Amino acid sequence: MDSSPSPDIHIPEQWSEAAESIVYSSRPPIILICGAKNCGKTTFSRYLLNVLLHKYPKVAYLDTDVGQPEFTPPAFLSLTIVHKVTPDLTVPCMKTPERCLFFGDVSSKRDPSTYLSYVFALYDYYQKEYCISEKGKNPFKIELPLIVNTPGWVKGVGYDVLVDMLKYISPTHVVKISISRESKNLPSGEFWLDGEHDETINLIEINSAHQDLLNRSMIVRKDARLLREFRIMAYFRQCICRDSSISTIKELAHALASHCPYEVPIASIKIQHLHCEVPSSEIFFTLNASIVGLAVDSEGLENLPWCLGLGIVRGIDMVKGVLYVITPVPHSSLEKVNLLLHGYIQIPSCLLQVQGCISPYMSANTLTTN
Amino acid sequence: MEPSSSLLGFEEEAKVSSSSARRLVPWLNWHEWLFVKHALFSDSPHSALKRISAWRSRASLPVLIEVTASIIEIQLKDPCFRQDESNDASLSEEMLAMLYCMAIMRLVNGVIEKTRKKEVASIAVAADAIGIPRMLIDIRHEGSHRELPSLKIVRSASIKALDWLKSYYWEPQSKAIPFQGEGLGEVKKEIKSKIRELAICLKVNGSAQSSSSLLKGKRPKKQISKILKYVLRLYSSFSSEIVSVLLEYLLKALSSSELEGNADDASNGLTTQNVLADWKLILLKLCNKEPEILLNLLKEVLDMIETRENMKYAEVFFFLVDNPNIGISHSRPEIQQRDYLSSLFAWLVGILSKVPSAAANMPKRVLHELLRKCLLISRLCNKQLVDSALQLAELMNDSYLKEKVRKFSLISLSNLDSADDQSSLLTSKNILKFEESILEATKKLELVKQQIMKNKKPTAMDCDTKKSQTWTLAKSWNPCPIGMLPRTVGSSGYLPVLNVIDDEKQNQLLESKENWKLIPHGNKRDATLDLPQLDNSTVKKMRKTKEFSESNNELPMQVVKGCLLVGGVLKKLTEEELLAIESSVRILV
Repeated sequence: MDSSPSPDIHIPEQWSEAAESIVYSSRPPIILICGAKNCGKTTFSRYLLNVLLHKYPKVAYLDTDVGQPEFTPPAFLSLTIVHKVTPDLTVPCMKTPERCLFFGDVSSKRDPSTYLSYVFALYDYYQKEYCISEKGKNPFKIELPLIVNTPGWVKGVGYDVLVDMLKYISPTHVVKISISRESKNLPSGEFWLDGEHDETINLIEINSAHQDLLNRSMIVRKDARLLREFRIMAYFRQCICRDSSISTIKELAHALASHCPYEVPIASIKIQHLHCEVPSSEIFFTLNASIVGLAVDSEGLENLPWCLGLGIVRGIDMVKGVLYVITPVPHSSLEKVNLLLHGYIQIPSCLLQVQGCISPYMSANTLTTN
Repeated sequence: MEPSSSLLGFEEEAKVSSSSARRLVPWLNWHEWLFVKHALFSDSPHSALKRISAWRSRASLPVLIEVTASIIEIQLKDPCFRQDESNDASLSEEMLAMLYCMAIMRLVNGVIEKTRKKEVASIAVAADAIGIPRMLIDIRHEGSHRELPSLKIVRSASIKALDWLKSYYWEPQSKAIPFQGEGLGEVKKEIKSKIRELAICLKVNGSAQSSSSLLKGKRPKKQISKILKYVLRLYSSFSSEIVSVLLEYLLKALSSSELEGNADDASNGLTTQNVLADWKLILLKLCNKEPEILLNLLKEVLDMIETRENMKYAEVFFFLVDNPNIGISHSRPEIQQRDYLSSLFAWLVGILSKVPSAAANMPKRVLHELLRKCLLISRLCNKQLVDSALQLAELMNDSYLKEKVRKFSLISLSNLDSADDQSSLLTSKNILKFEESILEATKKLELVKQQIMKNKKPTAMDCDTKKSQTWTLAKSWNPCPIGMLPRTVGSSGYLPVLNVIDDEKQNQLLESKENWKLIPHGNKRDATLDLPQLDNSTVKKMRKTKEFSESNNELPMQVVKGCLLVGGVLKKLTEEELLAIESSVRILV
């Protein structure tokens, strides 16, 4: 199995065996990967993706980890169709998803019911487009396997959300990655089935990759917040044309401050606050210098705001009645956007305090209560 | 996997620790914060509570502000604190007690958990260190481990909590704000002292270099750049103060030299150069970094000249009404006043041509506007202004424009020649002649206008074939920090005004608009006395464009649909202003 992993990543035999057993199933599998934080779910999913791509031309990836998504900036739930093998398992890369929804927060804790409805909507979309329909209506549909990645929140509300997801999706394979500290793990066995046993589900339990001499899992600590900020910066880096050499955060900040933004009249845009209530007189105080999701408000049955990407509202001119928005979404797709979603995602503060273009929201005389 | 920025294509950067550490805050400027503070502790804190709920969605709200807002909101629901009667869905005592208790718990946890090290100090000890009243700690303990405390206790605790919050956060923070604007006098003093410092440093630097002592040269340079940075940082919030302070200094320098008795016209130009030589360096340095300062100075000087002209003519007019048939002769001190303003303008234009970045980067239409204004105000008899206009045209590198301005300057020369001889005296004979010439000029103007309209028509057709798009690229963009709006020139940006107005308030505003000081016209004028070049109603107040950096949050902005392009900037105008424009269409003779 030459998926040529990067030199730093060690794929234990348990993992490669698991991947092989998944690939050799006759029908395109639907795999859900779960486990505690930092146990290696994402790495395994990337590895599995590469393995599947040897057999299938394309693989669908449903990312439900809003805190550290694979192919999109944070706060998105997305369904991406992948056709290229990822050579280096450590480097995340940006891809444009087939469909995505902007959740507006980096964890499902504030609004688990909306989170679940978004996950189910994306799964239904996958079922409609890429799965064989039972009535056999369209025999020419390409069946694709699906990998579902989940967040590492396995206790309390996170556990309940995971159980609901498993019940709805009913995957063919569930890969549960455990770490050595038993208290942090998910319960053993098919924990979501309330005691019934489902023949069609294969549960694969594997251990996390690195273990020291005492068989304790070595977990690499990640600074999640920093990673998210870098993700957002990489996303907006796409606004600036590829030729210009931007290699430092400082240069990116200057480039974004001088980048010519899109102008959109306030009257032709709807604004929705996703997780808090804001009085209508104060809307623009929340929008100025903030990140918004650019969505299309469809009056269809689903009533879901399919999202096209993120934008930075970099200025509001009340006199002219326009918003100035920086976004890498191509202009042709932008015309459909008529809804701005405001969540809890911030512009990384390192972009706002570069000498020469310091934002007014970075204030110098604040008291530090220490 | 270490969070390395190189993962995503960014080089590792050495962390630069700045002396003034900045933190992300949800308010646009300290003015907003002060507004919230003032409203929060007043009798009707509703507007402040609304603003804080907006701040909450920005997710960088300090916990102390949030807790203060919670307590005040609960007090609003408490009939004990509310003077008014309206008791729609009032809460039971149990619920109120629970609310207060929760707020106090959040206060204690929010403040202490951040400041104490868990193993070292207990909550009580850490609380003592900060000075939280013991009562609040006890309530927190009671509420989480025992019964809910009584309403009376938590009520009085809430009062104590608010007092403590004021002394721990609100008062110290408001003291830490720079230039807390009671008047802008403090700011002005600060700017003045900084500019004086800058002047001294530059002088020392200049003289040090000439005496070639290396040691002395180092320190002033660093200090110069420090002061420059400081002044420029002030510029984004206090631009008009800086401009007015500079103007004051320049005018003082000029007028003090006038008093010394150099009244010779011929050497006026030379004296300006000499007198203002010190300031030249300062201005060059400032304008290199921030070209808008120069632009604003130029505009201000032009406005001052215009005002003086208008006032002079108004005085003359009233004088004439009382004493007809007395000739006007330009008195000497008036000429001098006008002249040194004009020479200041000429000198400033000279600097503009010397600042390479400013002249290159200033958009054409800004220079164009300046040029047009200059010509208008000169009324073609102020030679210095016309010469400056010529210089401006040269800066723009537009030969067609240069030709036009040159023609104007020729006309002005002929005007000047005729201005001084006896025929300018307004005797009744001359008045009739003037009237005739005006009528002729009006006819010519009409012809010219018609010509222009004819030429414009065919191009008006192809405007509506363009599809109307919602998302369009902004036509022009000057770099400015995120959160601000761009200025016409320079990259400092100005603060936006984000208040939303509903229509009822708008009508109120239209009535109580600030009064335009229109010079009275029409009533006293005798129909036969058709004096030329008399300005009856000026529109000079147009220049007081709403500088957003100054605007008070209390004065909401109008979002009127009708905007006119005045002075190159899209401005909203009320009916009065439109009438003022209509009635002051001047005819250049």
